[in-house]
Amino acid sequence: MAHFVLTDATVIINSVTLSDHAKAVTVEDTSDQVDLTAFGATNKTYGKGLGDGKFTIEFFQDFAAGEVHATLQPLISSTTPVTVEVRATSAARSATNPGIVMSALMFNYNPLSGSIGDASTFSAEFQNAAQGGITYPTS
Amino acid sequence: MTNTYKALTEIGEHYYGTGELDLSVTAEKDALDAGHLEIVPREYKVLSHRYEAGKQGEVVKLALRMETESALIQGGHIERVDKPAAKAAEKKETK
Repeated sequence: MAHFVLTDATVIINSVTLSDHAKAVTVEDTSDQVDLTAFGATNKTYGKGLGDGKFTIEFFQDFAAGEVHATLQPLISSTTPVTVEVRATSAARSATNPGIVMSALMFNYNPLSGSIGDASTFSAEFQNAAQGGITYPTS
Repeated sequence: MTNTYKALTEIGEHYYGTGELDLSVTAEKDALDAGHLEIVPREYKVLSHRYEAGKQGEVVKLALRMETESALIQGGHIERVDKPAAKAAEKKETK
């Protein structure tokens, strides 16, 4: 895949496709940076600590049945992780369009914010909730 | 809502048994994660065009944890399909 403009990303939360109500996605696949520098060292050395993952997705709010609020609101009180997947395009998973998948809990849900005249948008944050972290399946 | 489970280990059989159980979310998580129980898939009707596991109107068999099922039902994406035989049995009992 060459350079591309993100116009057709896929957003699937708990097996529910909400791509047509999403407008921005940020995936953070990180590891802690642990300082392992001991006495006598002349340079700092670092090791990798615990991994973590976070998806931040910006949505256009929709309170209709079966839409955004109805899908996401139950997840804020749920303690059971759900699968969240995003892809660069709406095409099926492949080597050039991998799934970016995480078993996650939703810790932040701000269903309504904005000023007069604005589109009603909000961000939902999903944090890693399983030892697998973020995976990148191609099929 | 209750789920139907199958015991996979002797511990699972001893503590929970097999069948319809009214477990808490935590008890379900512990038993499933430890491999003592598995959820017996049940039938759901897909109500929403957004749900990935099946087409709208289709009946699909899924093994869903309680909170996952609850979120999807609350969201209007699926509903449980009760077997006609079970309904008939319930009606008989109430008479």
